[in-house]
Formats: sequence, structure tokens, C-alpha cells
Amino acid sequence: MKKLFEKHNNWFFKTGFVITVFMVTLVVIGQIWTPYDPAAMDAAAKAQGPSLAHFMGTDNFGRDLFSRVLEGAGATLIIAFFVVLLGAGLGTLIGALTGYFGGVVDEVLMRICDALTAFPSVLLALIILAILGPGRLNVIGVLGLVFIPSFARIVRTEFARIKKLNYVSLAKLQGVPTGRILLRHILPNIMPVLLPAISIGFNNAVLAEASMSFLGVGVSASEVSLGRMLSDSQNYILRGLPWYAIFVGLTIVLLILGFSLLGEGMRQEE
Amino acid sequence: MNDTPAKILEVRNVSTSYTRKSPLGKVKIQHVLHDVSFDLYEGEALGLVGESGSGKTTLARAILGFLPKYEGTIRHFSERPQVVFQDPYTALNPAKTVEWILGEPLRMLGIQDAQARRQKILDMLIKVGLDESYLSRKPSQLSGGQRQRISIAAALIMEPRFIVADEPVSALDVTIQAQILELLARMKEEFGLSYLFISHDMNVVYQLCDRVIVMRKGVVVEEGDIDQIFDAPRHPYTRELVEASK
Ligand SMILES: Nc1ncnc2c1ncn2[C@@H]1O[C@H](COP(=O)(O)OP(=O)(O)O)[C@@H](O)[C@H]1O
Ligand SMILES: [Mg+2]
Repeated sequence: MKKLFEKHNNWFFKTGFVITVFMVTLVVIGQIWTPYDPAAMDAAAKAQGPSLAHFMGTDNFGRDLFSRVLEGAGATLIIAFFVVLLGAGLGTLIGALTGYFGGVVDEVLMRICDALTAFPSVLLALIILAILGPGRLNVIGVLGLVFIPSFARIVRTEFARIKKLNYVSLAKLQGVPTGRILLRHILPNIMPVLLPAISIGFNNAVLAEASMSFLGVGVSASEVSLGRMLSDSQNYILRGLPWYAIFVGLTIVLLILGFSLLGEGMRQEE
Repeated sequence: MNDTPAKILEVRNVSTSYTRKSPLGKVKIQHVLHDVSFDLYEGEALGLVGESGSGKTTLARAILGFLPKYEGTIRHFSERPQVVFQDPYTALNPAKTVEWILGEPLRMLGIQDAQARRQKILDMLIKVGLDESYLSRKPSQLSGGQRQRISIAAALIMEPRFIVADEPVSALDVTIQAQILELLARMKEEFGLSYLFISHDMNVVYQLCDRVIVMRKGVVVEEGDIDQIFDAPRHPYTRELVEASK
């Protein structure tokens, strides 16, 4: 970790790292243990504010909010993880192949990417999800897909740049197979660009999931997520009970802040 | 007994041009090589001289198989020709250590045993004037001269008989230049190598080469033994280059 901080010696990275580690640790613990059963109702403790027993208060059914936030944040992070995995994975694959080989396939794919990026991706996701209907898998699939072009574009630019460098020519002369050139010779060199993009992607995925679920096209009514909870919290605000929205919002903000500081910190070194 | 040394490389009537599209869509054709022919023989250090922009690197790329299109023929009579580039900063993979960079050609040669690779890498490091302590370094932790030594090691470790060196010392300080030239000369003797040694500097060529080709705007204007070229240049352009180096 000392090495990591030496490599990224700026306050964006360090602060982002601390926040992210704190949040992720909390969420991981929340997957194993929560102070209360997130689903356990308590008729004696309905819609309470923060207290010693319930640090974030309770909801209408007397369920412990902190436990529910942990569960919801876990669900949101898992969704974000798969969204980024899909978007960055396929985006990197497409970007690597088009950037390295160029040609007609490159032209066609980049035109499609242009068309897709010209349209706000969250809006696009919203429309497709509205058609497909809500659900965790749908959210992952659709958000993952709309994330592909931005990754493909970044990776393509890097591969097209690096393929012309002498060390790639050298590898060819040494008889290194093309697949190995792509994976072992070029890919490690795009990490300074790809890693910040991944961390910003995480950020966008958390935000997008929250937005979709907030608008009712994200996870289904029976599933949990931060967006879903934020949507529920509206009823409480209207009744003068703001803490639900505050704590859910704060969790979202902290998650996003952590990821974006990490990304910004890594980007600053370029 | 046959006195004529074996041919290593045969270049015949090689011509090429780059096409550029201006922003207005006008296609501009720039002729870079025009009807270039020469032979290179076993054990020879052949210099290729010409001012910057005369097409030397383009010719090197054609010889190494990196130029997608050209006219004429290029025939190799040796396996695995290798290269040492001018720019030591882009010649080595910045994400990798020296051990990995020198290990890669060995992996490609089928040497799977890490211990055997390491031994060969160490031997080669010593030969190019470095040592064990460089194994775990990345290119960013090396000076220009050290990088060029690693580049030479990477070329030699493939056990080629022929190396193209494209301005291998042009980016280096004069004292380092001399060291690298000396290393190239020593390696040539030790491994019985042939060089196509590219430079814009007659002086540098004089130190290493037996024979010289002078190229101007993609045309070979003169070819001859190094002493003849230096003492009695025939073409005015050659004379200019020789004068400039004095
Ligand atoms: N990839 C390329 N695309 C277009 N023009 C090029 C390219 N590479 C070189 N040229 C042009 O070809 C000419 C010869 O370049 P080069 O072979 O690099 O010469 P040298 O190595 O002798 O300096 C120059 O005018 C250069 O601008
Ligand atoms: Mg050149």
C-alpha cells in the first residue's frame, strides 16, 4: 500500500483510496453480517430517527435502515461491478482489435460507437430498460452495453498509438504471435489510461443504477438497491422524515466520491 | 575454396511512396525510395548514409518487413534478421523489466525453462557491458546508453546473422556514442554479424563500416569502399557529406 501511495502521490488518489476502501469494506461486511436482519420488521420501532439502537433509524415497518443500506449498497456495487466488467471487458476487446488491425471493421464499429455516444448513454439505457422491463440482470446487461463504446474508444486510440512504437515492431521481429502482442506487450501499457476509465465507469454505473431504479426501470420492486431505496425514501420526505433519504443519498455520494477521486488521482499522473 | 562471401541480403529496384490526404481530400504522393538496389555480404558492415528525410528508415522498414507496400524485391539469406532502433525510448517496452524484455525472444525461441533463460540473459548482459543488477529494472530506470545496450542485447539474443541498425547512436551523447559503436564493432567480431548501419553522420559510419551506400532523396547516388568514399568521393552530394563530417 505504501508502494501504491508512492506511485500515486497525490491527495485525490489517497483520499479516494481511503473512502473507497472504507465503503467497500463496510459493504463486504454487510454481505456477511448486519446489525439486524434487513428484512426483520419491528412494530415497536416504526419510522424512527437515528438512535443508539438504530444508527440510521428505521423505516415504516420498523426495519433497521443501516442494515438495509448495507444490503442495498452491496446490491448496487455488485450491479456496478458486472456493468463495468461487461462494458470494460467487451469495450477493451473491441478497442484492441479495431485499434490494432484498423481497416473496414474498424471504420464500421467506430461509426456505430459514434452514433451511440452521440446519444446520452443513460437516456439510451432508460429507453431500453423501459422496453425490457425492470430487473437486476436487465440493468446489468443494458448498462453494460451502453458502457461499451466509451471504453472501446479509449482503448482503440491507445492500441492504434502503441502498435506503431518500436517495441511492438521488435516483438514482431522476434516472432511473437499477434495475440500475445495484444495481451502481453500492448495491454499492460494502456493501464494508465484504462484504470482511471474503469474507476470513472464504476462511478457512472453506481449513478446509473441509482437513477434507473429511482425512476422505477432499474431493479424490480422485490429487489434491493440504493436507487430503489432512494425512490422509496421520497415518501418519507413528504411526511417530514428526511433521514432515510439523507443516509441513502450520503452512501451514494460517498461511493461515487471515492471512485471519482481514485480515477482523478490516477489521471493526474499522465 | 570460394573467396566470395555468402550473400546475406539482396535489394533490387525497390521503390515506394507515401500517399497523404490533405484536409481538402486531395491525394498527395511523395516518392520516398526510387529504384534502390544493393547487396550485403556475410561479415560486412554496410553503411547507409544520407541526410535526414532521405528515406533511410523507410528502406530499413522495407527490409525488416514492416512496409506494407513497395515495388521491387528484397531477399534475405539469413534467418531472423534483427534491428536496433534510433530512439532508445520507444524501443523497449516501458511496462516490462529488462529480464522480461530479454526473456521474450528466448521464450519465442522455445526456451521454456526460466533458469536456462536467466542464465542466457545474464551472459548477454555481461557481453553488452551490463550486469545482474539490471535484471529487475524497467526502461524508465535506464539511461539512453544503457537502453541502447539492452536493445543490442535483445537483438543479439535472437542469434541473428544480420542486424539492421537504424541510427543507433544518433540520440546519444558523443562519449556514449563511441562506447556503443565500440560495442557494436566488438559484437560483430564475436558473433560474425553483418550490419546494415544507417546514419546521417559520415564520421560515425567511418568508425564502423567497410562499405557505404550514399542515398539522397531516395536515390542511391554513390556506393563504394569506405576509404574510397572518404578520400575520393565522386558524387557532389557525397563530397558535401564528407566535408560536413570533417
Ligand atoms: N509513415 C509515413 N507516412 C508518410 N510519410 C512518411 C512516413 N514515414 C516517413 N515519411 C516521409 O518519408 C520521407 C523519408 O523519411 P525517412 O525514411 O524516415 O527518412 P530518414 O530515415 O532518412 O530520415 C520523409 O520526407 C518523411 O516525412
Ligand atoms: Mg530515420
